Amino acid sequence: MDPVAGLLAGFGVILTWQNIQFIFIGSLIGTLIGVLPGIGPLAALSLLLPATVALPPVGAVAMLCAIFYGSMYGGSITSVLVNIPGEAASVVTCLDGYAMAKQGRAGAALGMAALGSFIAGTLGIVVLSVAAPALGAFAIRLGPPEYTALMALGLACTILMIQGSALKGAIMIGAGAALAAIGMDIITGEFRFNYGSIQLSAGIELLAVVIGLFGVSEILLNVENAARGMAVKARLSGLWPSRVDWAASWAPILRGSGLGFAVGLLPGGGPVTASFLSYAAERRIGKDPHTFGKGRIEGVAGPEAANNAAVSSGMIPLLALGIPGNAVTALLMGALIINGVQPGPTMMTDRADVFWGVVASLYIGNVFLLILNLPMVGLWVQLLRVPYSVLFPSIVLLAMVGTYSANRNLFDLWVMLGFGVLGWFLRKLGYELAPLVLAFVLAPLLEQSLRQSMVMSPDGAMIFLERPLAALMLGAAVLMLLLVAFKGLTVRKLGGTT
Amino acid sequence: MARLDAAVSLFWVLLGIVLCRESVALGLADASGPGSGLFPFLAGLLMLGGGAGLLVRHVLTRGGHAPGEEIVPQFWPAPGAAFRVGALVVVVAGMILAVPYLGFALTGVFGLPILFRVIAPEASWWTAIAVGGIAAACIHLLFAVALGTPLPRGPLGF
Repeated sequence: MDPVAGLLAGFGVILTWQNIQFIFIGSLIGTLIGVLPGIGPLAALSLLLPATVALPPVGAVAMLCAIFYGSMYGGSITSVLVNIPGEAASVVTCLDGYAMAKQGRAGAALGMAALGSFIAGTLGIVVLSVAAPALGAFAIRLGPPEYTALMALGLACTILMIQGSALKGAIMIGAGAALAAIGMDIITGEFRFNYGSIQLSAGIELLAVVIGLFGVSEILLNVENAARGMAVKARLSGLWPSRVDWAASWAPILRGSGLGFAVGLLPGGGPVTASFLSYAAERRIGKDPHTFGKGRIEGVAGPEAANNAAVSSGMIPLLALGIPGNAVTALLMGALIINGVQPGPTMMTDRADVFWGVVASLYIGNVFLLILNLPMVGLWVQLLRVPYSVLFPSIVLLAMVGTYSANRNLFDLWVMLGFGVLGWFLRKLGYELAPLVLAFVLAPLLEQSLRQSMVMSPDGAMIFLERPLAALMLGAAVLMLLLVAFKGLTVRKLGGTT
Repeated sequence: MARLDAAVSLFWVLLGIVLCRESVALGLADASGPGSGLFPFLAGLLMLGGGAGLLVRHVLTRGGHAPGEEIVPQFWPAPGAAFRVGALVVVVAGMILAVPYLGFALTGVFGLPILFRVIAPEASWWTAIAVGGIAAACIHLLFAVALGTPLPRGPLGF
């Protein structure tokens, strides 16, 4: 199916009253999550994933996607108004956005953030509509060795992209893969690491793990500081940017869109990396770099465009290859599987309705978000006054009900609490949890591909070197790990700082 | 924090060793191809290698950490943090134990006010009870009524 016909069919699927409601609710919740600091898109998606189990697959995934990119839109509001990023991808928006607010230009900063996000999001979706089917058509020719190598490359890339310690990232990948191995072996039917427990025989539930790691641990970290509501002092006026603002911003928006799209495609990349890189690029390219951080609208437009473009391109590896590139798309993959849809190259033929329906929903969601973020920004500002003492207990009960509802198993609640405490503890020590979730989701597919590959060849593991594409990807993975190992040395030799 | 970090690294080394041993017992390969233990063995190796690398780094840099690694300077960042975290975990554990007997809605009605007071001790019990009751009712309406999720029921039938 060509992209135009596919998209038209997708709009045919998504344009029902029920699906529109799901996208609107997702956009609303996403913006809310973005606005309220302390709960990121990962925590929100994991908490709300159980609520989508009862929905039709297109509506469920469309709603979850809307929550994700809605949080990118909403995150800029607190960055600009109170200098606190609503989520990690909006950290750099604080630098110039808050400076603009202090100069009385909060409206222009928020307006440009929303419009830049809309333009980048729309451009990203157009490229997604064209690129994903092409990549899917190519991927259908890949065999188990190539899939194994591709996933190994993805995990190596994840280690390369880790902001802190790569060793800790590798440990998290190992832990995620080990956790996924608990339960019945998918090939031999043998039980592994269940130690006689019936509960562990079925394996560990993804939802309990992610709700614990991201939802509960985030609440534990937040209650440590006894956070309260925030005081919003900035005045809002003139949300539509002036001609001067547009003249300064159109190029950063286009650059941010391109950069964000490229970064989002990389495994381990995502909105956070994209926004930081875009800010760095604007500072390097822009006139008077020393004025960045003092209220330059380019410092808002570029990063906000980049993080939204990265959301769209992050969907490509998931939908076309069935391989999530980051923890959020890993969760979306979980949502698709729970709803009986296997993402990957065959999805475009077997479940074209879901694929094109989800792509079409992204267009509609972006329009909703522009409406929600420009005329209704005042409403979101009021929500910043909700005290955390009201929010967090409610989220705890939501996490419990959500975890239970996936399997109706009380054991999952203990798993959730255990992973919540574990996640809280590990985050204090600088461990990033996203690689664990990514490995946990990828592990069954990786193990299956690895073992199938080795059975296919009389030479065992040599098959990975005999197949050119697999060998190339494994070579790239090794190169990335070497880059990680010598990262400090390379940067110092180039005269930079780590 | 550096000592705690090193202790956790040692834990990963030990866990990696245990995982590798158990995986070998499961069988790394047999006549038909790779065995059930191969994949967890590789995962164990990754944990073992990563943990050992961290320990070596700890010794070489005398507790230093990687650039960009966000380790908190103090384990408990604010006065009363240990109490709030501990109380939250205990209350949630209590709520999990209560769910089979009280159902989710009643567990929320009883548990949420306590959580509310743990997080905001300055708030009155009346506010806590009102907020807890409203939140529990909203979540019950969303999952049990709107989405039709079968949840454990309490003595009052919901």
